[in-house]
This record gives sequence, C-alpha cells and structure tokens, in this order.
Amino acid sequence: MTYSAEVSRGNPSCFFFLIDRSGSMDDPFGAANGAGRKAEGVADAINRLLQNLVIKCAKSEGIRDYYHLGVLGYGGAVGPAFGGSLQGKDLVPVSEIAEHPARIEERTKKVEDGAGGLVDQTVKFPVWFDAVAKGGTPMTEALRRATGILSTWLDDHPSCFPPIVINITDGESTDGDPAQAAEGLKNLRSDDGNVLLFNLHLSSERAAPIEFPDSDGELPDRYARLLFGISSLLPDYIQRVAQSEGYAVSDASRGFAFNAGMVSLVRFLDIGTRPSNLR
Amino acid sequence: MPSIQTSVHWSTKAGNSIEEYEDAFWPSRPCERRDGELRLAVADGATETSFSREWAQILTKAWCDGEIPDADPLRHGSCISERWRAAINSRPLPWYAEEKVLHGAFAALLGLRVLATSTGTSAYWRAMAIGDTCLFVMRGQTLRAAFPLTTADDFGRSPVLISTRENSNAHVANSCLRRAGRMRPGDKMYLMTDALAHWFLSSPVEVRGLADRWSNGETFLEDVADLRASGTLKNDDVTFVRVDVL
Repeated sequence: MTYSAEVSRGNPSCFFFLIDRSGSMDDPFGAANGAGRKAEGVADAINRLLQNLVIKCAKSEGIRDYYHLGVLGYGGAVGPAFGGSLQGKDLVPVSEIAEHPARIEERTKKVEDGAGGLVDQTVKFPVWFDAVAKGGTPMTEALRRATGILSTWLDDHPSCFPPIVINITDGESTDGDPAQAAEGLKNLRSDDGNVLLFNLHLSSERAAPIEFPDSDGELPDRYARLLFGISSLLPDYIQRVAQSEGYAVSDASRGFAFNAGMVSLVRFLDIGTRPSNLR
Repeated sequence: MPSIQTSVHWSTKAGNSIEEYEDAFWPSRPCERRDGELRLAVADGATETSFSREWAQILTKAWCDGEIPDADPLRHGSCISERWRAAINSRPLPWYAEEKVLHGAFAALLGLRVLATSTGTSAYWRAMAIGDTCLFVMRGQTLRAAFPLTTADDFGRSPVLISTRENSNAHVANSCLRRAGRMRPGDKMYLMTDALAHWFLSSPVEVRGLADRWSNGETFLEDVADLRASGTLKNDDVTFVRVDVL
C-alpha cells in the first residue's frame, strides 16, 4: 500500500515549493478571485503555510522535525528563495524554519472576544520568503533542480512518506517543454511511493477556477492540458481531504488547479499539505 | 464487604521520551478503599496541540477534586483553563509556541467514581466520558460493559474533546456521556486510552486476556512492545488503570 508511511521525527517527509517569480507575477489576480498582486499573494500564502506547518510541529518541548521544507524560485534566476539566515538553503528541517524567519512582522487580525463580537489582535507574522517578480519562466530548469535536490534527500530517507512538490506558476515555461523534466521528478520514489507533483496555475483572468479535474476535456488550451498531464493523481488520503472540503474528486483526479485565485491557492496548499499519518 | 484496589501502568509512544507522554491519570499512585467513594480519572492529550500533557494532568486532578460535575462538565471550565494558562505563561515562549497557545489544548477525559460500603456486597460505579478514553467491566473473561465506545469501529472518527478555549467547547455538554453499574467481588474494570482500548475491542477474547496479567508492570511493558511490533497495537501513548473489587 503506497502513501501510508508514518511521518515521524525518525522518518520525516518533505514539502517542496516551486514558485514562479517571472515579471508577469507582478500583475493582479483576476477580479473574480480577489485583487492584489499575484507575487505578494503567493508570498503571503507560502509564509502562512510555513507558519502553520511550524505550529503543527510545535510541541511543549520544542519543534518536532516531522518535515523538511524547501522553496525554489524561478524567474530571472533559479535558486532557493528563503531569506535571512536560511538564504541559499535548498531543504531544511522545520525546526530551522521555526528558529530562523527572515523577520517577524506584526499584523492585526480579527479574533472572537468570547462575547459574540470581534476585536483586533496584534499577531506575529513570520516571513521567510519575499515577493519577487522579474524575468522569464524557466520552469524546466526549476523542475530539474528540484529533481536533483530531492534525489539526494531521498537517498538519506529511503522509507519516507513520498515528498510532495507544489509548483505555482502564472504562465508558460520559457525554457522549453517541461514535460520531460516533470516526469524525471515524478519518477523519483521512496519505498512508500513516487514523488507527487502538483501544479497550480494562477490567473489574471476573470474566470472561475478549475480545481482537481479528472480529465483535460474542460481545459481551455494546450498549456492547461500540459500542466494537467504532468500533475500527479491524488492519492487516497488527499482525495478524502479534498472531499471533506467539498470537492468532488475521484481516483482519476489530479493535483492540479487552473485559473486559480487567492482563495483557491490557499485551499490547494492546505489540502496538499495536510498530514496523512502524522505521529 | 467489598474493597476496591487500583493499579496503573503506562508507556509513552515508542521513540518518544518520557517527557513527551501526553496521557494523564489521577490518583498518581495505587489506591485501596474499603469504605466510601474512590475517584479516578484518565485523560488523553491531543497530539496535534501543544501543552496538551499539562491540560490532561489538570483535567484529571480537577475531576477527582469534584470540579467537573457529570451534569454540567463545563461549570468551572474557565477557572480550570486558567490554571493551564498560568502554567504555560510561567515561562518565556518562542513565537510559534505563543501562537500554539492561542489555539488551545484539547484532551479526552474519563472520570470514574466507585463506591463500596461497609454494609453492602456490591460496589457501585458511575462514569463520565468526553472523547474516546474507555472503561471495560470484566467478570472473568466476559466483557460486561464497554463505555463510552463499544466496538472497534467506533474509533477513528474525530471525537469531541474538551478544550482550554471556551469557544471550542460548544459540543462538549451534548457529547458528554454517562453510565452507571454495579460490580461484585471478583469483578474488575480496565480504563484505557484510545490506542489500547482500540486494541482491546479489536481482539478476540483469548488475546484480550493478556490484560489480566498486567498487574505486573514489567509484563505490561513487554506485552505492549510485542503488540506494537506485531502491528496490532498502534504506536501511541498507552495508559492502563485496573480497578479490582475484592
């Protein structure tokens, strides 16, 4: 049975994010899905996700290294995207993420006051990753770099719950057809199954998102069909998570979303990074 | 005239340190009672929340002190939660721990009262449960009662747990279950946190019988290690309290 390994400190798993940092990421999201620049929306979503993963792994005695995490940006250059003292690092255990945010901002959020109302509360918002939007979209190179990084990591963690790679992009690859590089990444495996590659396409169009499709019949163009084709099928446990969130998925559904806005982005990341068997 | 005797054994999840044990029980030592009421409690702190060990410990003590009434378990909830906050705030916390404290801690709780009187021939018991920590009443090898869960299939659904956050306790009052019964001399009762309780309900009678020999702590730990290795017992904290009516 695949995708069933226990995730523990002795057998951690891995989330790896590929982030499009091309010039077009400076554009806003499509109005149907909320305003704001795509690059900033992605940076906020990734920072919030890292924060939530740290908190999930936090126990009374400290951080349990259930996961190793990495963020690879691709735009004018391809390289690790952490800032601060994690700069240049490909993959780090979650305890290092916890201890080394590039900075901690203070933001205000609404919380319940216990009497039916809402009050403003100042909360800390740690930042590891900043918005950048410059250059082309060297997605093929990014997929190849990810393959090299995860191949080395899998040598050290042969029985892990397979790594999950989430690629967030708003446009077509500018360094050739990424399909072969994507297959090379998905051919990596642990004893528990193949590496999963999920793709999320961000949109500046006023169009409803297509999320977790099970065929490419409804997809609008060749590029969308290409991204669908290189996306992994959803394993059973992610199907159950998606269903619990109201998505109609099947064994043929893939980890893919097209024309996504901010809301879809956050939900996609949440579903893709829910622990299956966290101990 | 029956008397009541208790013993307790526990094991932290394999691979964890003793400090990471998140179940709790009170009283902390074996007891014997010949006349009057004995109160016992077992709690299971949720792994996903921080400082859940502290919460489980506070809950078991509060139950035994009578601060969690069966009919209104949240009556003193805010006061009990304050003790948890005071325990946590007594130390400086990194940003992620501060955030985790905001999310609160959660735990399952099983509270038991056993009454033996100098004039009776039976012992009476009354239990309250929030979540999936279970008790089993045994007469010989026969399971006379299972509470609050009765089959292995009942596990796995997200149980309602009691939280340090008032806003997260909306379903606790309605989910709190109560049961009472009677035991005679020779009967025994087992209290188990969920991993062990699931094993117990999943196992055939002859395998369950292992629990009979767990008055010996060394045997308990050896059996737990063997059951974990065989895959029939999930690797999690296990707590086993035995109540004998003599």
